[in-house]
Amino acid sequence: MEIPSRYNPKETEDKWYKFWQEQGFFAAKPNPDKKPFTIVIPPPNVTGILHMGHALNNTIQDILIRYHRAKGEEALWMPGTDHAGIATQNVVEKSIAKEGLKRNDLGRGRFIERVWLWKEQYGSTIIKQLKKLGASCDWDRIRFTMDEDYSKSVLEVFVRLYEKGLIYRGSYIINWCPRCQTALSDEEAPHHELQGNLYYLKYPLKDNPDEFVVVATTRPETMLGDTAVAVNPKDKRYKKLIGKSLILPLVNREIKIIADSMIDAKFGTGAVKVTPAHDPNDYAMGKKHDLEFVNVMYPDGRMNESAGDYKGMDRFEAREVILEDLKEKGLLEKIEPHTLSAGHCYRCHTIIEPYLSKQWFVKMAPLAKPAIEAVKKGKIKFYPKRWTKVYLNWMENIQDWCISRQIWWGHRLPVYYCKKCEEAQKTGVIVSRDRPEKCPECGSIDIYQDEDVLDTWFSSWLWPFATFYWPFDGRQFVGQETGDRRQEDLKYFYPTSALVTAPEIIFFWVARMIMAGLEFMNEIPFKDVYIHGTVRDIEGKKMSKSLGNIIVI
Amino acid sequence: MNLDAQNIRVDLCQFTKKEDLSLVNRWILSRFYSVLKELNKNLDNFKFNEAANLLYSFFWHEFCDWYLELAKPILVNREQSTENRNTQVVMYKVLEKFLRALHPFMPFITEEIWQNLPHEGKSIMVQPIPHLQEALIDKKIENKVGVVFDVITTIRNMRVELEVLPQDKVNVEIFSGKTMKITLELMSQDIKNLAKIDCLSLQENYQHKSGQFVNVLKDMHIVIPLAGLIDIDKYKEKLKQRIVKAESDIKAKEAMLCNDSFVKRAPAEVVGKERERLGELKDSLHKLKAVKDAIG
Ligand SMILES: [Zn+2]
Ligand SMILES: [Zn+2]
Repeated sequence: MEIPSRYNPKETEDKWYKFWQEQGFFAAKPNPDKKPFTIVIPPPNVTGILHMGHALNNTIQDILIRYHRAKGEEALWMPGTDHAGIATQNVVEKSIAKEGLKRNDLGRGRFIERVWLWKEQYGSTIIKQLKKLGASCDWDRIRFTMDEDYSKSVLEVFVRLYEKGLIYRGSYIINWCPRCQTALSDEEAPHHELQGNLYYLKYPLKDNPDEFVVVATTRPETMLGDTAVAVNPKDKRYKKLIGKSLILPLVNREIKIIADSMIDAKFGTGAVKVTPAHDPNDYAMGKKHDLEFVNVMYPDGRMNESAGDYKGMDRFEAREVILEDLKEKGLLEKIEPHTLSAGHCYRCHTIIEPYLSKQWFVKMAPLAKPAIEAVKKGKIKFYPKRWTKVYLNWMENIQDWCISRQIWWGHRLPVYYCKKCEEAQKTGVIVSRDRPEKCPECGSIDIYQDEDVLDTWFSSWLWPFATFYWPFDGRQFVGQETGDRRQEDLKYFYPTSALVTAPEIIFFWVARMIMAGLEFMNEIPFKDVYIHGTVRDIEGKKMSKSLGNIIVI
Repeated sequence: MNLDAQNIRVDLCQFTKKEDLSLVNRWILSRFYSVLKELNKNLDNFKFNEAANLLYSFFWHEFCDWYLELAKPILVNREQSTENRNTQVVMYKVLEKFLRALHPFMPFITEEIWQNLPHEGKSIMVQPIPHLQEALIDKKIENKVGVVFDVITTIRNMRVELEVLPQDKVNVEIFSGKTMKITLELMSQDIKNLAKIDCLSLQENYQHKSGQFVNVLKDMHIVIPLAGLIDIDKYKEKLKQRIVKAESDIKAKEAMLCNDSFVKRAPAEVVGKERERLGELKDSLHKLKAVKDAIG
């Protein structure tokens, strides 16, 4: 035999990969004589370019798949990509900006056409790169979270949860990115420390304008939305003042001093301004004490009509002017440097604004319960084991999930409103798989669809079964044979065997998949979860595009 | 190597019952299956690092460093012998099975090599993972052969100490217990080949003599008689000089590392390197002294 003295990877690898594909070695189909071994790929963003993290993640999956295939199991590695709502929309917005266009110039329909066009052109880059790595995925099964069938699964889930009372619309303080103009989940708005100030503001007592209560705040512009000042009932300094009124400077609104045992008497002055429309803790307090909710900002971060003279100013500009005005009136006691922690938009790094708005939510506690059980009982195992605790900890303190996003690229909410009912002060909300012809309540045909789309994770949390066309066997579209085959596939390959993923998405994705699997399939989505490390550069830094230390494969 | 086509179709189960299979061949088979067993365990428990290191160190440090070196003279010199045929079969079987075990980690290169080997089937991708043959795992053989490798390594190090040229042969006497002696006898040709030994004498009771370089390994005394090999007096003189030099180097390094202004001002990395270097110097001084004692 003759082996060349120098190995030529490019030639060799392309040759064998082509051969494997031609021979159909990657394909898997239900085989009653064999045990199934299934892995669903963590779908990379369709905008993605393969980096070292992907290389590690997919190499491990390929090792497992090839190992189990060689052990005589029916090994299926399900591939696909994620439509990545905000990320993709931002990329396409940048691309049309080169033609001098903004998304509003195109309008929703034409903008979405451009996104699909972009996907056709560039969306398969990462798939080609995975093939270069040797990934033995069953490519004939490749799925995309915006595929027609997949979208049907997503809407089906929305409708079922709504009908079960697990989806609701509510006013809520959400993380709002004034730049992207959309709500962000807590996970999408990571907190970073920054150097700011603590401003001490003096609010005069109504009965005695020479007497003041001093409150400390890092965001003085929100004082325009204050509707109370709270103190701890045990705080001797303020005991006598509880129930009395203050005059809120600049807007001259009368606000009450209320008592709440949640207030930390040791922080700042012990008296806290309460802005229910602009802070999550104050929101809770506002609900509890039945306070007024005064929203002082437009969605783009400028001050609105409730801000009086400051209307139209950007939030940070308003901050400076308000401080000037308070100083002039002698109502700014002092300014102290202060390190604060603020949420930042994970896409554009703008400081998020806690903002009161109408959003759609999933009630998580009922879904979390069986998902906690499944892990506690050892039906699902984490490797390394320590991640079990991280998972349980988060699940036991789970918050409702804000699933509406104010962008265009994604699954539009299957929610419609009847104008006539709305005008008559009824809810007018219709949740439906298909566009309703008329209002079931009043029969009106004046109906419009909610503008929002669903959080990207609201589609990827269904990945282990929606990739198998759940729940539509779709026989009416694809015929008896294909329909039967799809149903058989789901039955054979689900629950999947192992999930290989990075630690960053345990909450975003892993935990939610467990909940969705148990809710819709009555069965865990996977048995083993392998969490691998984060690839770092030689100096121990995370690898990222912005740090310029990524390796493009 | 030129493999006879019939050799690849040998059934390993039957083949390994042969009485004339050498210790080395039994050793590599046992090692392969031990590694395979461990590999399966690691992969079933998502221990990918351990699995990859296991395969790497088996192939590099056992199959290549030892087995191929031991097989070379057999394949070159004894073409018609049973040992030659046995070694061909075992080498082929272990390599082919190893490639299959490695395939999930390095799919392309294993396919390329596998396709170049005599094989049955279309692709390594659809070959089963080697069946674990527990019966071929023999920890006693692994230990015994492991000790023989330690003997060879020791003799090689002794040659380096004595500055024997790589092509020159030496005479060696090994004093050991009875059981070990039997193993050494079985592998005496291998030891001679790999340690470049002219005359190897295996004996039982060690008695100290002068004019020898002696190393102790476990309960064995490994002896290289110096007469006729090197000029003993000249060598001793050289050794003395090396010891003096090492001692003065150590003193200088220690002074440097006691100097506060150096330790505080130099980057931590540099200081760390110097400390490491000091440790190395101390090690080599220790070795030189041991050699001096060994020669007596
Ligand atoms: Zn943003
Ligand atoms: Zn109506």
